[in-house]
Amino acid sequence: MLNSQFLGQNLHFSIGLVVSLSFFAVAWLYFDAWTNKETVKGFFKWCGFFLLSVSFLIYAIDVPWIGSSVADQDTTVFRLLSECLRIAGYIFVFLAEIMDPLQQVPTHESSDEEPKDKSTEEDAGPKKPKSIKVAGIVTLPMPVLSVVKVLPTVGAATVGLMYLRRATKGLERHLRPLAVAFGVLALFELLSQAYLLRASSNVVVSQLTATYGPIWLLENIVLLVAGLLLGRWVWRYLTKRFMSQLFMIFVSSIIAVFLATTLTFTFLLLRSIEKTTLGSLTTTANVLNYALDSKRSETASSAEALSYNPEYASAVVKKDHKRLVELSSNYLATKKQSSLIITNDTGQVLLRAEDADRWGDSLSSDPLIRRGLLGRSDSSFSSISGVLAPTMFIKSTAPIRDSNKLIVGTITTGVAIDDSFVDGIKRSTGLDASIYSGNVRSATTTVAADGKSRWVGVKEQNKGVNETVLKKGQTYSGTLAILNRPYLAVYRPLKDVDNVTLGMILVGQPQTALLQTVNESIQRTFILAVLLLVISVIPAYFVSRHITKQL
Amino acid sequence: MASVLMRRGAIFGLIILYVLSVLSLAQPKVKADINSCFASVSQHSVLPNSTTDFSVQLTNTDSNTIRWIRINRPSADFTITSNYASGWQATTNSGFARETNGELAPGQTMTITITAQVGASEVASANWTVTTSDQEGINVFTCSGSLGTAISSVVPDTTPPNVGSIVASELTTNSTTISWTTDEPATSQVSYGLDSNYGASTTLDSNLTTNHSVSLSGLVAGTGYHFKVISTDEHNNTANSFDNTFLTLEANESSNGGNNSNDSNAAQAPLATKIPIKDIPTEKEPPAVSIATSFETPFKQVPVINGTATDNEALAGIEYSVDGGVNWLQVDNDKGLGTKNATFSFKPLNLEDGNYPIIVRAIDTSRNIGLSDKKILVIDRLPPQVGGSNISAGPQIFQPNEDGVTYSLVGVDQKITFSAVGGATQIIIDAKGVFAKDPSKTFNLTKSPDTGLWSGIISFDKAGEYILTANSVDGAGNKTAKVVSTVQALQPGRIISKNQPLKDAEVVLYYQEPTTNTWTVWDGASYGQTNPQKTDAQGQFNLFVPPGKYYLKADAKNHRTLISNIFETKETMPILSSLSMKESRSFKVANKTFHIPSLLSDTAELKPPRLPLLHFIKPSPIVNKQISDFTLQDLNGQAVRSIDFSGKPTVITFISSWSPSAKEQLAVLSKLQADKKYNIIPIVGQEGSGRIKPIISISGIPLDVLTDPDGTAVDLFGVQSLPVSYIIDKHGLVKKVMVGVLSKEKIINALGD
Repeated sequence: MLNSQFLGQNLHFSIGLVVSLSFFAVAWLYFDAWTNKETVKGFFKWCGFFLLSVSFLIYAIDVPWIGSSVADQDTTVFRLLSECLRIAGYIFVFLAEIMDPLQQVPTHESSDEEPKDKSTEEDAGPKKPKSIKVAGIVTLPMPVLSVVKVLPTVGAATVGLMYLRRATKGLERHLRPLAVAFGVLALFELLSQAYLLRASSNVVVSQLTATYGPIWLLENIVLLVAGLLLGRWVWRYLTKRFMSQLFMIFVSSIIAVFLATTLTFTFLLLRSIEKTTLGSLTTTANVLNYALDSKRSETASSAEALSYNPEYASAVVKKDHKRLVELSSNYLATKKQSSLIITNDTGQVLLRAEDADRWGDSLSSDPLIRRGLLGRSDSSFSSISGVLAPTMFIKSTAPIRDSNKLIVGTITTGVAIDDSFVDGIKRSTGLDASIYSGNVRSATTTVAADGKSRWVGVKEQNKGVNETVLKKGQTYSGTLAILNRPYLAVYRPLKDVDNVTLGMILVGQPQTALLQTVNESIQRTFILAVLLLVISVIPAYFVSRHITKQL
Repeated sequence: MASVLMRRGAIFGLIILYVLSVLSLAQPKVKADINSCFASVSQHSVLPNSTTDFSVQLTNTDSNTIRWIRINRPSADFTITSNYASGWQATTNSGFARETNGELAPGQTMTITITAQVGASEVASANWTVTTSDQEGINVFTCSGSLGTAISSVVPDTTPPNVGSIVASELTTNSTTISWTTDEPATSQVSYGLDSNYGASTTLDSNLTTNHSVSLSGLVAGTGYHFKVISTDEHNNTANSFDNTFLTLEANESSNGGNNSNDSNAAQAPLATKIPIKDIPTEKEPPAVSIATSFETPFKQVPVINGTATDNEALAGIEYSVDGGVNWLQVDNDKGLGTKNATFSFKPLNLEDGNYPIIVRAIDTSRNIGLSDKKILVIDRLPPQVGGSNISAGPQIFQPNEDGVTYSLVGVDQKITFSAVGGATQIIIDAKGVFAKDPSKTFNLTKSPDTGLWSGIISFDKAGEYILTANSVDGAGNKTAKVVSTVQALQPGRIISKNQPLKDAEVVLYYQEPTTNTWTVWDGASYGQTNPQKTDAQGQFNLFVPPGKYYLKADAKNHRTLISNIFETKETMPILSSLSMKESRSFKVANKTFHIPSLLSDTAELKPPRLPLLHFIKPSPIVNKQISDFTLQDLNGQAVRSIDFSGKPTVITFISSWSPSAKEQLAVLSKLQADKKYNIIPIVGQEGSGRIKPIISISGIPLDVLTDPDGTAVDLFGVQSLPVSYIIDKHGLVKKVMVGVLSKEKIINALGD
């Protein structure tokens, strides 16, 4: 996906530049003519083409990217600016053409302004139904907006028709390629509005008009054709004057150099960002492991600290449940633990702080408590079943000793690795995190579409993950889809005291977040390239003029 | 020139077609008789002096159509009074029944019902005579088949055994025992598997018994199983039960008590002995232990249990276990340790209602361990009682609608979870269709040793409304039944072709990932569902989707691809639409049909489901009634009487700490409690203050709650699904019952009404 977006963006940028160059060449041609004979229509003409050239420069910068919604695409500043400039450009060229009298074919009766006006009206005639038809297809709620959206198409078509009129009705047959180019351009303008149909409920329409979809590709190809037609036409005239030729060769080579540099640069950028992200994810997973370890040592030290408390020890020796309840009344809330279990030397529970009424039973078979009664402090992950998914716990046990260092009981503290734990990770690293018990998700930062409930209880089905992490107990990292969303993710196993994998922890970054970074960098690179390009055109002009003068 | 040739070709083709069709039409005109048919009669033995309906099944095994049928009685002891066959004109004579003006095509089967009076004398078996013809009584042919009927006062058994009380008990991580009863001695067999197609069966136990018990082993932990029981009586009448379910224990739950391999644990040395043990054992005779206390009757309170232990050498220590030998404790009092005879007594602490397997073990000075017999101590203070429930599937919770009805999809396994107090040893959910024709099913529940919650799998194979009743039994034999939920099982989506269900069509659901806007095949497996899936014999596919944007694609052999429109849902939604596919274009060559693969696809409109109206919604019986007075304790042990609520509008919300939506609802209630205009009364059902207090203090939400450890208020209000809120006006009248998590605004609105 990353690569297709990258290719698409660069294609879009390159085509934009080529078309812009063609229009610039035409503008230059008319500008050159205008410097010889400064007429208003000449001014409108070169201005119009120049505006079109600038608009396609901006069009080149406006790179679409996968993941932006329709509304985003609609309101891009660049898109709007480019469209406005194009409309202005078409109007300028249109005005210039109106002012320029038609050179009638000699066999016809020559007449003045009137028939020309008629013919413009005739041209305007078929325009209107067309615009209505297009608006009907688009079916936007606001008819005004749909008219605005149709203007560039109408503009390009009108200009094309005017040139066609000159080439067929008039004498200026050489304008025929220009008319065709504008016709193709009108098609491009029409296609470029296809994104408005992206929200359609028809699958075929929606997929055809998707970003980098078939229509998008067609739109770019059509634009390229228009640009090439225009370029070929203008080239014939530019070669007539040495200075123009030289200037255009300069500008073209500058563009070629910039294009090559930019494409190479963006490609390298993409690779390096991908690499860094995966690297940083691994680091984060390590940090996460460290966080879990510190959580583990936290529970261990709180168990240890309690076990040295002589008041607890004496209450345990006396089997004084009430006293233990008093002692531990605020323990869970203040120490942010979820569980506190105190047993005597036979494994009989004297206190269960999380369920104070349940005591007196035996936990002599619990592996952690057994270790504690043998004098060992230990920690372990464990899981307790729930309605949607089991909850993972870190538990630590420490032996309680009396003044003679004899073991009189055990203290076990536990903390649930729940949503608040993963939320903490998200706050400090910005990454999504999930905890799995087995392959069932027990805590996560991923929020469901309603914005509050979380997808807990989801089963991880990726074979690679289950094999590597749960079966082999190793770390897995790579790109994969989690609930259909593409992620760059790292999974690490969570193991109990006997080194058995009980579950896993996931940290990941949605690929779209990465794409956004890449996209922003690429767009910045494009803008910079275009700015430098515009600036370097000026010295190119002077250099070519200088060379010409020396001849 | 070319057009002329083409026109000639077309004319030639038409002529050939005409000739062919004439030939094919001419073919059936060839004269033929019926030379093959098969018939059987339902009653092979009847009582003397009875009037009996005999049904004769007739199958046309000939290649010609049967147009005339006559059935003669076996003997003059039978007097035919009437007969009937659907689509035929029936003529009745005392000696025969005749069917005319109908057609029985080759390969088809029909049923003819004949009512006959039977004579007084007993007669040996004689055959009915079934004759057929393709024309009115010409060239008749006598059918073969099982057609004998005897008149006898001894009636052979033709009714299958009646299967009842199906129970899956002793559920562990990998095994269970299925028991059931029959009303007559019959064989025992169980078919089981992950869905209602089963796939596995136990070996047939051919012993004839009325109390059946079959063990299943090699099961997977934490998995819902479907099963049915099969019993056959001595006359070869077989009864199949409806589909039932059970849920095996989670694998990791066994560590805290589910471990049944108590021998290995019991063999371990006690943790501490009062008398030192010899370093080198001198003998191998284990001590003998016996419990003197009688456990025949249930106890209201935990009794003192006593007994004796003897050894040939000397006793070193005595311990007891209340969980069947997993965890051990030293007895409270012992006398005579260090000698050959000792007595002991102990009183387990804080046992709630339930069944406790008690084992006492003694160790002698040579490290030999002797075990007492396992005895079941039954503590019974309250009758068994189930609390509020929760229905989920994978990560999705099925919230009931405002009437408390939960929607379900036929063929989808859902997990139901609820709490219970009163020491239930067995809870079985009985699902009864509201219409008599709907089958009733039982779902066996499993208790989690971790949490004490009961859960099981509910699954329906027929659409309809079901009322779920939890039948619980405790160790003292107290039985209670409580309606826990009403479920509307919906007909799933179907693929049809030419108005017939289409089997084996592949249905793929596509999902638009909202951050990338790309369409991918929906990851159903993560949600515990199958995608893509093939339709079953009824053309059905089961999908209920979480919020998102989707479209559906269906492919089937010889059919054009079908693509639905894009649809969006904001909540978990079942797909119920019936989609109809069209056959692709085909041509016939030599009786074989060839389909042309079509590049184009059809589109279909997929609408959000309109959930069917329910027939049997009874308004909660307490609506518009005064709440009965009850007294509960707050977290500090202070008694609170419900009569004190009057004077202000009141909301009573039942909730459980284990319910997935508990936190969300408690946070809302906490905010509302600050407003003294209302009484906001959260009641935690079937959980004590010892558990709720730490939960509230850890969550940091300031909230006053009442605890209802015995479930008295839960029972009073008839709480079903959780959470549920009761809106009560200032006079103490219940105005409204609201199911599900309520927002602050919803509660204030309801109180304002």
